[in-house]
Amino acid sequence: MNRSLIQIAPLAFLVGLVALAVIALRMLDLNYQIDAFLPTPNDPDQALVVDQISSGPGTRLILAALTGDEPETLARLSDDLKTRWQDRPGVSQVTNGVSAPDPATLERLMRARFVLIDDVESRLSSDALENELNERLADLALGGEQVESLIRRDPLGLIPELAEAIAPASQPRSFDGVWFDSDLNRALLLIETRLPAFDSAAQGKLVEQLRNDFDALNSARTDLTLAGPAIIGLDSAQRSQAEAQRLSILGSAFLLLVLIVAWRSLPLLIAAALPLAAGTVAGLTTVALVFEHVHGLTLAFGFTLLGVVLDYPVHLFGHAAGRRLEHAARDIAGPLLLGAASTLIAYLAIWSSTSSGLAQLGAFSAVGLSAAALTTLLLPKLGLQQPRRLVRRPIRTLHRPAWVWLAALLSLSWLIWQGEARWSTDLTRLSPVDSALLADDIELRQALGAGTIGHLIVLHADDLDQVLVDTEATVGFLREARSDGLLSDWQSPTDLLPSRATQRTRRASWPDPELLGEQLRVAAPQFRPDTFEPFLADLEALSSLPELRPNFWQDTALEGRLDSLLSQVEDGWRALIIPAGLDAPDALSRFLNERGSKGSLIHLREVSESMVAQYRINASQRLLLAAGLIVLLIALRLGNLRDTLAVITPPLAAALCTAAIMSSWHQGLSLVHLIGLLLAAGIGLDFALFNRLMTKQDNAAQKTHRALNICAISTGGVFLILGQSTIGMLNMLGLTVFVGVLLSWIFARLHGHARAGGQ
Amino acid sequence: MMSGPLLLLSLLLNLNAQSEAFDPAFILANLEQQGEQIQFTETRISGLLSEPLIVRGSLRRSDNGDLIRETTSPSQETQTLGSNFVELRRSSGYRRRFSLDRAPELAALRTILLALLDGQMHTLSDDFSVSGIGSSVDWQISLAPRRDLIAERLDKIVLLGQTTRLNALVLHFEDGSEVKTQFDTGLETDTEFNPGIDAGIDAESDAEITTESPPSTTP
Repeated sequence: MNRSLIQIAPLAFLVGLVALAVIALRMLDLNYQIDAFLPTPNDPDQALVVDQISSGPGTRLILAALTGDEPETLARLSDDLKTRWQDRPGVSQVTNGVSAPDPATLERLMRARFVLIDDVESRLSSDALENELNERLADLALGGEQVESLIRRDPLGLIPELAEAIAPASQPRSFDGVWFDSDLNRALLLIETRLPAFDSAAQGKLVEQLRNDFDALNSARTDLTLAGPAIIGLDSAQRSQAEAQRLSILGSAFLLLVLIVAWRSLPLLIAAALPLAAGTVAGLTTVALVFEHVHGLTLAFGFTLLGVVLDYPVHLFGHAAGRRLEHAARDIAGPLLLGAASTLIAYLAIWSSTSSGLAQLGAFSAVGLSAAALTTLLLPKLGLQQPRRLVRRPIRTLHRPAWVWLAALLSLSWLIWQGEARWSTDLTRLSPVDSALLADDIELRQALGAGTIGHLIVLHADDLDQVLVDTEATVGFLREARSDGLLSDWQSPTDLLPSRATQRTRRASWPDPELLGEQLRVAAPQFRPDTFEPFLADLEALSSLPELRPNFWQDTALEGRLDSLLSQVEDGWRALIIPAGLDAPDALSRFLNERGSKGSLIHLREVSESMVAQYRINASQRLLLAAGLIVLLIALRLGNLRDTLAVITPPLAAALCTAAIMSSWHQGLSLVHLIGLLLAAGIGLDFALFNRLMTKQDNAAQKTHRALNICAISTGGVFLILGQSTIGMLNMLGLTVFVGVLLSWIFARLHGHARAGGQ
Repeated sequence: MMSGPLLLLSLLLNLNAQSEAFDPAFILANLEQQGEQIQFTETRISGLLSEPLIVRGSLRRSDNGDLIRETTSPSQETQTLGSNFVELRRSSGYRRRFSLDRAPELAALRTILLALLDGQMHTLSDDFSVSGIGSSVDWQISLAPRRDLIAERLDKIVLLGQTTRLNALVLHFEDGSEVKTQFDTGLETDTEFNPGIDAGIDAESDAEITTESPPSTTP
């Protein structure tokens, strides 16, 4: 009875922990904002960059490409899809070529056109009117009912002019009126959604709908490729889930296999899971209580960092072979707690980070690690049977500390020689984005000419009207700059929303409808006198049109455009002007400065790179401080420099070598690599501590080596499996930890005690 | 003196000979090739204008098989009609391109004019059902589009000619409006466009012909 109780005690404990974990998970308010792991912005420019990455105009776009048939067929399919997609809930606009605005948008443009057009007086001179009406005659020369009704309402051609001003500055190649890539292989469409950028559920539904529409129309030959941040977000959510699941099942199976072979005992196996389970529950509870929202990725990374505690029961049971667990626990408590305390310092350093995602990661791991270490030492209380005795074998040691030093020095030199290339400054690598999808995205963007927005002119003001006034002034300077050849075009929020003063001036410039009717009759006697009645009626209605405000464009295709260029920020309003055809940004920047423009030209990539660099410097400073504290702690605990050096050299050398290898393999180290290195160093420190402190007698040395071998094979193996992921982040993390653990294990052995027998 | 049955036979033979001479397919196959460039004058009726709009210009074929329509009046404009698109360019710098699906009548016009430029008018029966009235000397051939997309917009296209020469072409739209294109053949013809009566018919053509197509109205 008592014995069977002992058998089920670990299981009962485990079940209890799982139940607690479920409760903690329910308390969590998880979100999947992509910016959680981005640095906290320090200035408005940085804030803009983070905004652009997490919710900029680009994030609401879905790019679509049709391939696999003749251009004529693709063009027709593109038109058909546009018609269907346009009506889907959540879609604000589908563009597949140069085309007239949809009826709702056209109607709104018709109402607003009188205040959106400048130089009203010069447009109404008799020469200008005559020219414009001659153009309308030319329109009629090709005829069509639609042309006639547009001419009646818009004899001055204001709508085509506005449509052109609003259209993106650079357009892709067009075939049959439909956008194509330059080789005419792919028909291109741009879908603008109204859905929040990372509302995966809504995005998922929409994307499924888009694909269904395509399947319904498609003739089996054609393929549809979708790209864009929404697709990337969706795919990474779905795929990371599926792939993480597959890899963790594989990893767990592997771990189980190693431990079964090592221990051949089910209760031990279950007990070995307890420290990790306890750590997870403690970590989850902490983040749930301390942080308002918890990022999904925090948990994923947190579990990974907690992987270090998998080794704790391995050490315990390894040293208990043939002895009571209590004795083994007492023996290993020293190196285990020292290792845990050191790792804890590093995790606390991450906790102090300014990035909310990293802070959560640090909190989760620090608390989880402490709980796991304590649980490990409490495992003997469960009354587990003692692990079987080892067959005594002679100890073979490889004492070659010089090799470790040499490897460390070579790696350090390589890292120094690489210079800045050792770091990856690409901010987008901090997000869990699949590289193939990113490549699709970049390629389609290039084909669409949508490009990644490189430069922006940013304006800030306390209130909406002031920012519009400043923007108009800057647009005035841009006109001058354009005639100097500094840029070719731009998109400004004032194209859709002029300042109050400008709206007033333009309204006042339009003559009385009756007078204008007479002017039109004189300018073009070929037209029947009543032809332009609809236009004059619109002008009559101008007096009842309220002042244009941002919400004027609500529920039209232009709503998203204005939102992306004009937004309310914490301290007022922000307007963005997107320049096009900008060859010499520095010259334009000087030009604007010299004229006293309130707008400043910023290079998004430069800002984001400097931000990553600053972030890395901050993180490095914290980690260096942590490393110093760790060395101090170990030195105080061990009480001599020789042992301290022997303990810190292997993990340090392993971290340096791993950094050198990964920076070359993955074209620069990212934050993910640093997290991986940190974990590897934590595991390596444990290896070195046990190897140094627990191998003084042959009996203990055999047990320690065996435990370390199991740790290295199980941990290294699990991370090698994780490294097979096609998701960039998991791949980076898995391989970094694998290489780090492997080297830590080798270096710990090479730097172990010198033994007469082994030499 | 001829007996009654013989007279009847002769009349029948004569009729047969006449109808053979006016085989629209034969006429189309034997139309004179118009040279590399054709001058035209087009008359358009529009409810917006107090008088018909006269469009003057020339037609030619580009090296890659597009039809180029260059107008000099009412304005300088180059229209390129490709297999599935039309592109407009004006001297003002204005440029626009759209699908021929959106202007099916232009697609029909393109087919006919390219066939005319290439001397391949007999191929038109692929896209149109061909019928004709008149005599081999003075004829009009009616082309009814077979493709639904075109037929939705365009009722028929009537070709007006004399012997082996095509003088004019009239587009009859579904809504009753018409556009007449007269080709500058170097000969004076009296196929002046008169929107009040059936556009395709000579004032002096015989009664049998005028009853072929009922008068249409313009908006």
